Amino acid sequence: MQERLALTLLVLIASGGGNVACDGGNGDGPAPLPDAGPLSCPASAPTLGTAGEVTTESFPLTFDETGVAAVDVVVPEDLTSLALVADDGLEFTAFWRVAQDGRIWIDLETDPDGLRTPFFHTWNHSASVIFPIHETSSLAPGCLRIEALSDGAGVGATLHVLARRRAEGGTLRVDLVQVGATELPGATLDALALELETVVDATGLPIAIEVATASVDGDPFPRAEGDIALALRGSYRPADPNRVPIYVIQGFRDELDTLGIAGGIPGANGVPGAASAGVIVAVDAHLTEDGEVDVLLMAETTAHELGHQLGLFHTSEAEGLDHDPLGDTPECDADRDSDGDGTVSAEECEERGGRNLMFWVSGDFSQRELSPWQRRVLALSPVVR
Amino acid sequence: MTSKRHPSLRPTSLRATSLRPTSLRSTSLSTSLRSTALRSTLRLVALVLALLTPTWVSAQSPAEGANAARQGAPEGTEALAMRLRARHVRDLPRPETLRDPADLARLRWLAEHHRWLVVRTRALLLLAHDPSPDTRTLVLRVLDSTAPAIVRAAALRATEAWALDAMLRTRLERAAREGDPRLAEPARLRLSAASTTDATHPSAADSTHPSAADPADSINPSPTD
Repeated sequence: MQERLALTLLVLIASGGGNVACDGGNGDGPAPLPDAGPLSCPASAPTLGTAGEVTTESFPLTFDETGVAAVDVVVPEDLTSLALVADDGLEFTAFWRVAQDGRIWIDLETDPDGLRTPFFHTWNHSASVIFPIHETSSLAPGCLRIEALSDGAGVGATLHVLARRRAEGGTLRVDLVQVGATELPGATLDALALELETVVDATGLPIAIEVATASVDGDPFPRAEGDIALALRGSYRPADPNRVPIYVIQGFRDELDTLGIAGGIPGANGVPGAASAGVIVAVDAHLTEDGEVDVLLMAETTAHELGHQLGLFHTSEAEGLDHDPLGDTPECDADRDSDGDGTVSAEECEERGGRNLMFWVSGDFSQRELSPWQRRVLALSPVVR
Repeated sequence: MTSKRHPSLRPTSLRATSLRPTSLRSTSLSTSLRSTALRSTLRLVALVLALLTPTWVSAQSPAEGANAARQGAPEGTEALAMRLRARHVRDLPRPETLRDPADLARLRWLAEHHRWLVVRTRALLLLAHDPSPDTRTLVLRVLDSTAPAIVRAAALRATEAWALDAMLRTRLERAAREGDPRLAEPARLRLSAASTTDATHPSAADSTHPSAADPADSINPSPTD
């Protein structure tokens, strides 16, 4: 089971897929993270962020002879969330180890396939992690050692650190970016923007959402896998780096039936142009029999992928065996599979997360619920400012 | 720099996706952020419309479970349709689990009748593994229809395992002239590969399917609803 999950994760991350199978689960509580030895930062290590603000800082990644680049920073008392992005152009990157005094948060050496809850971290283009991603993954004050890897030359590789030193809240700013000659039959980008705002508002997020529209030149039929999709994510660089791009394409050339993909869980947010920055959604996969776009369906897809991009996993996976790491999301287990088809549908799980925005499959009803901690993860995102 | 200390951790099998198309990274940008005032107006209009036409909401909602209950749908089609509505491709049923004749009949129904074209597309992609005459007839009918490109492209994929006979060649030649790359590219590739084969093995050219008559000839060429 774990091998299959690992392969799934690796392939999806490789394709920029923001859909990752989750092991562990909130029924058993998060798996314990291994202890680390004593850790102290050198006196020159910078303290992250600015009190009362959300900031982005960048550090050059200098790889040693073993291929690891280490950065030591100090986590202040008032840090509420932190996002790390290891950016090396279109290359795969990963965090080899992220540790504090007495605690290892991420350890690729013992978990190379990213199977360990709550981060499920492994290689990705512009690999990213956020703290907290669940109830007990807030960073403690003190030294934080970040060790990164790159599959490329590593020249010009950068660690981006987004630090929030204020309470949750603010505005999530999203851009619907029309790619090339992409058309929305029977709809407009503005209509999609309105519907997306409506869907997100309905989740009860304690933040505002602002959706704008934009356009970029590009192929409206990129491949879901490969350089074109990666380059697409590099094509839009808004003046405000904290705007999250949602690339609206006509369709994927290779995966006809893909509705949308996120850059990762989380993707590289706040780093415009990074290879996992932004979500891609396909218009044609949201057409109805009359040939027009189902705007509501497309808005729900977009909101779902945005949830992945900002750090949310599926509450329950298809077979009802795997669940997200959050303790307060409803779990729909395999025993709810009343028709015996091997999967738990939204309808079978209506009272157990089937109405959650992050359920694995759409249902015969709207899915706009989020648990308090799902809302908290989103509201604490360092791109919410 | 690669991870020399931990070579097993490098995603070497995925490196093919890591080429650097630097020219693409400077793709020109033409941002056109539009006014929030316009969107505020649109929101107001949408709200008014919603109030005036309350049924619009249900008509546009994802609640369309009755869709599969349309006349003629094989029993159990609705449950299969729900599985084909997975948000991610990896969660779709695998072809090998849908070889039961009843499942294939359900897929054929969905491929032509489901309200969402993504469900039709997924049904057609799954039918690529079914060589039955019924499926062949359906696929040709979809290819001949005026369905949106995403559906016809899926039908084209469903022919990949077929012998390239005259009736398929006709469809491929037509698809190759389409402007949509999801149709044109695979059609051109198949025709190109066939011409290479023809040149080296002339006897293989235009091999005829056992059912020489085009099953689509006797069927309504516009099956979409």
